[in-house]
Amino acid sequence: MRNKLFPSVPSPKRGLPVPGGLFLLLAVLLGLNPAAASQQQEAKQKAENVGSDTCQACHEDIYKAFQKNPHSVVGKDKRRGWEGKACESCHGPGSLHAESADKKDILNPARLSVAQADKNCLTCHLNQATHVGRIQGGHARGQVSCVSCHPVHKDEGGQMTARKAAAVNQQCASCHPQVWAQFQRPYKHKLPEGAMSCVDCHNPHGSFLPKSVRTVAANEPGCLTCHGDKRGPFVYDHSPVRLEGCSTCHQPHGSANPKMLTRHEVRFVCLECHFNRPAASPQTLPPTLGGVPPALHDLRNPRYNNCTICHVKVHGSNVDRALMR
Amino acid sequence: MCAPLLAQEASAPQAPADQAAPAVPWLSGSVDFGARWSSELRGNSDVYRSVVNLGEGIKLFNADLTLRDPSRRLFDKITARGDSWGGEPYNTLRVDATREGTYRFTTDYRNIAYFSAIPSYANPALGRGILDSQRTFDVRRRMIDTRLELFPSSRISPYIGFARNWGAGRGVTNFTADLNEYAVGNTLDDKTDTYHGGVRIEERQFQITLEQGGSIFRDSQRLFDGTTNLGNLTTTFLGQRLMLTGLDQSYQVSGDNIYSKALFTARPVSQLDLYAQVLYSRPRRDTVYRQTSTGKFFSFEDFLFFGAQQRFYSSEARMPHTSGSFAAEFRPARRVRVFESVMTDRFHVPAGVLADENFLRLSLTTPIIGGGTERDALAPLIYAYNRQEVNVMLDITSRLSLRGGHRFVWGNATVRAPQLSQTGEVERGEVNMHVGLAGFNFRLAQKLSLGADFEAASADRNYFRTSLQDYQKLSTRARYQLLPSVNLGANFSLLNNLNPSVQNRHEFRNRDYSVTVTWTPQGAKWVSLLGDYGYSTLRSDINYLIPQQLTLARSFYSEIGRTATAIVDVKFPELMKNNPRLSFGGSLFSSTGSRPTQYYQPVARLKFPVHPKAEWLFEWRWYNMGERLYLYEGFRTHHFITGLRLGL
Repeated sequence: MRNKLFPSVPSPKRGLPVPGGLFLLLAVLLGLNPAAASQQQEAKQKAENVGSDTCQACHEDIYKAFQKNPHSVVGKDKRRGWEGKACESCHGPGSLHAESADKKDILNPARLSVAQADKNCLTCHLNQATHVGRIQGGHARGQVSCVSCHPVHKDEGGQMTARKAAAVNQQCASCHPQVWAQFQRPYKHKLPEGAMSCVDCHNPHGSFLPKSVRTVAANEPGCLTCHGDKRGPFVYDHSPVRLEGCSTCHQPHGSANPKMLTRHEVRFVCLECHFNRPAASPQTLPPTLGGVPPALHDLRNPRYNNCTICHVKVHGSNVDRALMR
Repeated sequence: MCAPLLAQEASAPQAPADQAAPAVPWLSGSVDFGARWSSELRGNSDVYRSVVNLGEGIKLFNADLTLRDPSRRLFDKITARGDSWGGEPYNTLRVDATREGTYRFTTDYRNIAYFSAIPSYANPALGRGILDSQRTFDVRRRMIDTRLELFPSSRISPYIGFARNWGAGRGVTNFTADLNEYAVGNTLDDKTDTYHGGVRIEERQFQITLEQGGSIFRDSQRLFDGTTNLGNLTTTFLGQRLMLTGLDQSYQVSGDNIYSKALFTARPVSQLDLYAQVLYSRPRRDTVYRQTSTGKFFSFEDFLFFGAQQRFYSSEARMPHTSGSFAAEFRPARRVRVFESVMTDRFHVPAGVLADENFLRLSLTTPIIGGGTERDALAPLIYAYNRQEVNVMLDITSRLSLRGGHRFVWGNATVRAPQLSQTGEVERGEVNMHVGLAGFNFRLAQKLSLGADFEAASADRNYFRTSLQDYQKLSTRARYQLLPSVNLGANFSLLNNLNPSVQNRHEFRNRDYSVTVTWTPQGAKWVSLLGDYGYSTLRSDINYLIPQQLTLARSFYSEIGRTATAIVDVKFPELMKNNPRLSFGGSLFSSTGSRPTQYYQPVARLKFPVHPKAEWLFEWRWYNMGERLYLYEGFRTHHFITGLRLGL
């Protein structure tokens, strides 16, 4: 049975069939007092819905701004079951609060823990395709709540979140300043110019790929959305591209090195893997891939310091094993 | 947080001040247009185009329009946003149309110029004072992505979409012929069309999305040269000068891809959320390669000089690729959450190639002197990656939560070995890594918040020498509201990675520090300041073997970067229903180490009302890039913009 005031918060009386002793131990460890919580819940269960008009009487500014927020559709759409009661769809029944004006008598998600606040949102929004990677994403793991990015009350130009690339980037940069600093380097993706946004490459709700990188065509890394000519498959793949992705050689946010490379000269990017030693014997060292390059190159010659002038198809070739055509 | 710089771009136009008006206008928004001109560019224009690439002339800087239909017959609202039109290196246009409960239509168009001609990049002739890079391109890449979603009921939403990604342009690349390589012109032209359709079924307890898609791909590249090209080999070989006198190389790739996607989320009971996805794709590529070259060449394999060469290749590659993940959030008690996730990603690439090569003597009597036909079915590339992770989160109080967990990553790969490999036709690698996870979040009212995430891993094998092996990763963040108008923030992150084996030694260290300040007295009524300073260090140390001496050498890379961004925004008393505004600041980047670089972008903007619905815009921006080791790659120029912002 769901608590009427906290519909998303499970009643302590009804849990999964966890062994009673274990539950009690957990409750003691976490400082819970099931009896007191139960009394509090019961008192709040007496509250009833009063409608958003009642809320408007005291919270005029919030009410007006909310009317321009997409969330206001909750109170307008009959099919959702909250017609005229949009405020209470998140804050719970407001009759007690309307009488007492006491903040203890109303649910305020801003004062809840992130877990509880998110659960409140996910009561309605869990079953959406965008959230399927949520558990693997860094935001859920790092306890970044939904309302950190989605203002529920504000008039955001009719949107629940920023839509313009520059506004999206501004929002992300407010928590990830170090990442944004990398975009101030000369060789970078064009985010500061507003041609791209962070969410073009990352899914803030999470993805099964590391760093919440978006996927394209079901399960391919989002880099290929724009760089489709690098998709392959190639007859002769350059295995790091397939196995560890573009960031093996490139700094995707920005770099002082041309082509956003991880090193200042091309040869070092290559030599760090193609280091002229054969793959080690498993008995002595863990083997790594690609240890041996064409070993006759004279690395003192400038021609051989620039591997990609001959190995032009460095992302993969369809005709040449040495990636030269 | 260069939010400062962004803030200006992102800020909505000044409201026409009649927000209280009950009627919503059928058309609203703003349009920014004007002209840009530049001072004389000093320094390297190729690098300027590779980095900045902004030009002069009449521009539509930004348009943001919203069209509403009061009758809501065909649509509720259509929004159209466009940026940087009029010969700019990147144009965007996005259109959204919605009718609540009926449909949502979106289309996104981008046109991005890719220009790259950096003298120091992959240029073997640099030591001879030749600054023409042999790896350059000037390409326009365009992308359009449209999607229509229908809402016939609140539970079922079918959707269809189409995306096209195409690029075309030209450049310079190298044609390699055994002992010598020749910089030649090339043309590039590729296109991918993707179609998809699916249905989303949303019930109260679960959601299922099923999607089927496919794409068609083609890539056409051509290399050509008709001059006498002596290439990069500056000496004779066995007394003969190698050269290229004619080249026509055609590289035609075509292919397709089909993919399927099934997504599932559910909350079967209030303590349990479930997430699952199964993904499959199968891209395929067919290639036809033709090459005719004339000149003087040498073949090591046949040990002969020859005057012309014909090559024909036909190849095919497929890549069945399956991924799946399952995740659950379990809440056994009110303050305990358990995140569990398992994923797998696996593919293999079977491929085959048919090669026909002929070495020709330039005589009519016995023209063919070498070559032959070869058919090769290659060992497939095989890859399997698996990850399992569990995190337990304890909300000690509503202000403090702790997290601990474990991640296990394992997998294996078989790849085609490089030439001269001592492992035969293929190489095999494995990854096996255990990662410990921990973190906390603390929030004291809304004034102070602290958080940290930590990972420490130990692996006994991985794919590449530079892969993460024994690593520690930490990121911390703090926010503090010093005064109602002053917010401070600090972030720190580190990554240490060590491959401890003696012959494979690799040591990597990265530190990032940043502090942020936001000052908004009186709610930024008259003035505001956003600023941040970042300091980062990166150090990579790894060895490799020099083949001539068989001695070890170090590949050492270091970078100490400093980045400062700030923007000060000053509002003046209202004039014609708008506030004149002056903004100034910019970003400065400076680094020392392996490639010392400075890149400065100071900026100042003025907006001055000239009418209740019009503002005069003026902007000055300075671009200055310098590289201490490659002085010829620096540039500097002033940009000026003047224009109007019209509010509708």
